Amino acid sequence: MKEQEYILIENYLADDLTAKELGDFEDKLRTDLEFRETFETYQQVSDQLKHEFTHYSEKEAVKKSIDKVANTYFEKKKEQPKKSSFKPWRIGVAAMILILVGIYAYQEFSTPVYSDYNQYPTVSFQSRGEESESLREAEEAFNSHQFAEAATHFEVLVKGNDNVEYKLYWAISLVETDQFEKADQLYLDILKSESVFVHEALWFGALSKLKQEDNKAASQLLSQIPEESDRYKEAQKLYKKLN
Amino acid sequence: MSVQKAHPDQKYIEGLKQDNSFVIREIYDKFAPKVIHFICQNNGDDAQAKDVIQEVLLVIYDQACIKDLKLTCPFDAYFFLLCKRRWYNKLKKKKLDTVTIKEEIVSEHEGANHLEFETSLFQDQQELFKRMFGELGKSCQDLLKKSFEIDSMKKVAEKLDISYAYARKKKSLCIGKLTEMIQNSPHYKNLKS
Repeated sequence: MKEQEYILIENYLADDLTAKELGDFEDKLRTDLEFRETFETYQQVSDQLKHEFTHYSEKEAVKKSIDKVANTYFEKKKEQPKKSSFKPWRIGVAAMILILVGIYAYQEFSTPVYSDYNQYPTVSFQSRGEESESLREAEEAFNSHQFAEAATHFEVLVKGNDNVEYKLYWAISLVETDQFEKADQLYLDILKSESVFVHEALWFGALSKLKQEDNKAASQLLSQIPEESDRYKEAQKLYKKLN
Repeated sequence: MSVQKAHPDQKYIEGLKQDNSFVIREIYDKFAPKVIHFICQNNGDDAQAKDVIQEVLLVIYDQACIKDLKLTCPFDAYFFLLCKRRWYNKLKKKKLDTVTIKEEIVSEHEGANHLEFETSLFQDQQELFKRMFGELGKSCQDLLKKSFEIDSMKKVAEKLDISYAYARKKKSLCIGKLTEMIQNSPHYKNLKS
């Protein structure tokens, strides 16, 4: 019974029914709901089969086209950097940069103080006969930052020998122990001496004024350090900060 | 099918149907970013988005060919909804029940919801059909494949070394068998359109 129905439906779809058969078929479709449902499902199945097998190559071609476009699209997408995806580590990096900028700005724009500059290289004086003992002691005291002791030794040395270099280190030691008046006097002496220590005297004289919080006087001394001096860059930097 | 006038975006459906690479590229350029973004926001990645988009385009293609799909809403809304649904179903299959999708799978566009429902139904019907075809006897499978690959039943009969009349009868009985199997499937009732 069902088999006959399928053969009939197939012939109907193939447009292969006589006029009488067609009339009966259409009547049955209208009146027999179960038959109608079978017919509709049969037709759907038939359409699916046609799509799957008759148009197989067309579907494969579309699949290939989609594949190709998709691959190109996603390759291109991969190459582009993500616009604004949130990454927690970026906050870390940003914070680090902020801190570094902060430190730089602090150093660059904060009011400079004496303790930012009072770093001295280890001194080593050449032995000069009878002075050698005092000189060694002065050297040791200065290098170990015993400035009061160093000042005493340099004072003795300067009294025995009007050496500009000794005067400089005596002055530095005096500034370290807050004896500014004598120190500034010594710097002035050195400036008048026209020796190789003039630039150093200007620099350390300025630091003395800085420690006394006399920025104007410090600036005035710094501004006299000429371009050819080793202290020039340092002096300019400090000068800019003070002004 | 609806008798409503097709939306201007029908051009995307037609382009896909005609295997027009320019249109396919346009679909990717215009509509893929939203889908990729959605999937990446919901436990997925680019590769998974790529699969979803390809699968959805093929379903649209199938429906366009078999059912003469007519777009009654913007392609964007329809396509996005289909991709969302497909991704949601994949998550469910992976048993990621704990995952809550960030949005409801409903479009603001009423027409899109309706059309998406039709396409999803079509897709389920297609899957049922494929599964049942696989369960069909081998002789029926072979005869049906040949019947639809080759446009003349006479040639099919020659190829299978059977009479023309028998080939025709067998074809209708095989399709009938498949029809029955589908109608008897527990899923069939849910899939009646």
